Amino acid sequence: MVQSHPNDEVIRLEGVTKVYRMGEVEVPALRGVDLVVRRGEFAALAGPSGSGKTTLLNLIGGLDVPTEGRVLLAGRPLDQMSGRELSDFRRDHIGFIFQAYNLIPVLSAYENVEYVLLLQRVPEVERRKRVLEILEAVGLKGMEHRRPAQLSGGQQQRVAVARAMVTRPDLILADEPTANLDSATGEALLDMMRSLNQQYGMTFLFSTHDPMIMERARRLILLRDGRVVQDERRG
Amino acid sequence: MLAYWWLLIRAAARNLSRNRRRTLLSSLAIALGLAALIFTDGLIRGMVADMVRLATDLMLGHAQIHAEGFRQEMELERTVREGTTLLRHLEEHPSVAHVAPRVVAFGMISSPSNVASVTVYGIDPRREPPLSQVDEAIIAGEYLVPHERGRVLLGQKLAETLRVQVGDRIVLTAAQAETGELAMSAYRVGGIFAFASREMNTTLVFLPLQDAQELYGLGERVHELAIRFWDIREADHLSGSFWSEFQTEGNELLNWRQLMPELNSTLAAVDVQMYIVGAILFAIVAFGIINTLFMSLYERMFEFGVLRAIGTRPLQMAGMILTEAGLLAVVSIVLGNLLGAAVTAAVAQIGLDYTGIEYVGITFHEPIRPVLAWSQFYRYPIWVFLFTLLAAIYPALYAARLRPAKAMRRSL
Ligand SMILES: Nc1ncnc2c1ncn2[C@@H]1O[C@H](COP(=O)(O)OP(=O)(O)OP(=O)(O)O)[C@@H](O)[C@H]1O
Ligand SMILES: [Mg+2]
Repeated sequence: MVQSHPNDEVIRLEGVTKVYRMGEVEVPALRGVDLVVRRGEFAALAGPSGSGKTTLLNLIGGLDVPTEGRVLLAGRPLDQMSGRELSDFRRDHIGFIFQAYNLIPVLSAYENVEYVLLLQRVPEVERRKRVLEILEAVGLKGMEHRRPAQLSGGQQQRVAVARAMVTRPDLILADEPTANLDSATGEALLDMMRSLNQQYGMTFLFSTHDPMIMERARRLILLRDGRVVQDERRG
Repeated sequence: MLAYWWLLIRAAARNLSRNRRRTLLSSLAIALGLAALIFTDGLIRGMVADMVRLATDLMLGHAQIHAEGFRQEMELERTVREGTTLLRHLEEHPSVAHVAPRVVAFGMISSPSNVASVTVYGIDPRREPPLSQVDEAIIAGEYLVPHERGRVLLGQKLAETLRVQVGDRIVLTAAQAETGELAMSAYRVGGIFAFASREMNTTLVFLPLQDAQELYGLGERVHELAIRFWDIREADHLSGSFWSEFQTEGNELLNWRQLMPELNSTLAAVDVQMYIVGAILFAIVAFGIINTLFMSLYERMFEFGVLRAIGTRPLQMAGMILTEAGLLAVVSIVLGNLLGAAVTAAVAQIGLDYTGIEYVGITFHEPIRPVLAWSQFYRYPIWVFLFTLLAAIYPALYAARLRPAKAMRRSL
């Protein structure tokens, strides 16, 4: 097997465990996960409820810290970053899509997407161009000024996708992005993500329950009881 | 950066208006606190102005000149140095509205039925009225008439003790200056006065200046020059030209604050009371602010988790909460200023009845009217604004420390 360049690795997990402590009770959520995700992958994380999908995505995204082991993103270990560095790293390198309630309810679709670019201090003209472009790319042209409450669930998720992508991150992490959508809408959203993945070469890692969604993934990582029990690439 | 802040402000405004009821309630609480501060300040201003006016109008004037040391023992010989010249210069000074020369000395008064020891005031019937309220306090007979001699004014209580009425004869006995010889002189009661203070009604006797100077063997000399300025604030310019001109050798020139130290310290105590009232109101308001911010924080926990996840820095999270608090403060301040102005103006119209109440020797005889001043509408609001931000620091730090994974999980 050919040794790949380390800078090709977007995600590297080394012996990651996570134990939640609830008073006296210890809940092991991850029991030693080693994982490498390379640039441009479109990978699904599947497994029954409680298998540790959300936990794993949170650790990868630096939203939580592992009990043991290391998480490296683009070669950089997360445990050596300060709170502010980690915030900036997420802002510049990771896009997040959650299952629901991704958006700030008081901001319009346009403003929700613009927010991250404001954090990055992108100048006005370029900001405007990029926000309108990505909203058009996710099929929301003409709905820029609607608030989340005035959009359907599928449209809201598209805004979330647009927000995750507008910074052109190295990695997009999505935790059950289609769980709250009907299957047709969910599949359409996934097809859109897939085409953005091919178009821009962005790396996607998303969790799901849905067999239809799993089928669309180029790589399927199966979790059970906090362990990777299967990892297959296809197509 | 500007665009970022502008977005924050818009978001804060929309968040506040999203929960109108809560926003209104908490800003009303803050506004009430502010209005109470404005009103209290106005009331204290009104009260202080009344007290100062009552104290200075009664007899004191805005400033007085005595010989050095006179005020300690009221020694008869310690008369104002160069009194006549000073009096003339004072009357020519542009800041001075009125001056009254006075003899102030101890004496004994007797009628056929009784004897009493009194403080005798020799006053100039023409110059005295603008400086004291003796003329207004006459309840029987008449005030002294210029150039008419041999008449005295007695307090009501004293007249009762002596069992004399207007027109009756009394005798004043006094030790004369320098020689110490006893002098006696008879006068007629020209008028009887009644002040609000009982002590003044029992111990004071007024008689024409020249009669007093004759009785005490003082010649042209006086013990006191009472001064009234056109503007009372002149009395506080201790480093001004007036003070350097009239603080002459051997004399002491004192303003009303120095003459009535107990009133002055009361005014200082009033300031302290204001701070206490302020502190209590602010404490109440602080609870309201912290409560409101935490309520909206808990409600939006997931939202804050998302904001952290997508790269908002901890301090930017804190900034978000502070922006919302600042906006809440601005809304409250507008409301509070309107409310404070309305209440203060309304009570000023009606007046608060304090008549007959005595406070550090001053008796109120008019309702107190709170006074509006510009400073009330920016000084307290600035405090309220800063204080609101201060109260918001705790929830802001809480938001800054939020662990994104926890925040999002807790709210699901
Ligand atoms: N904050 C927490 N405190 C305690 N236990 C937790 C916490 N978060 C997760 N767990 C537990 O850890 C295990 C893994 O949870 P996780 O949410 O990662 O699973 P999941 O695969 O995302 O499940 P689902 O498909 O239902 O979303 C579960 O047993 C869960 O109850
Ligand atoms: Mg999950």
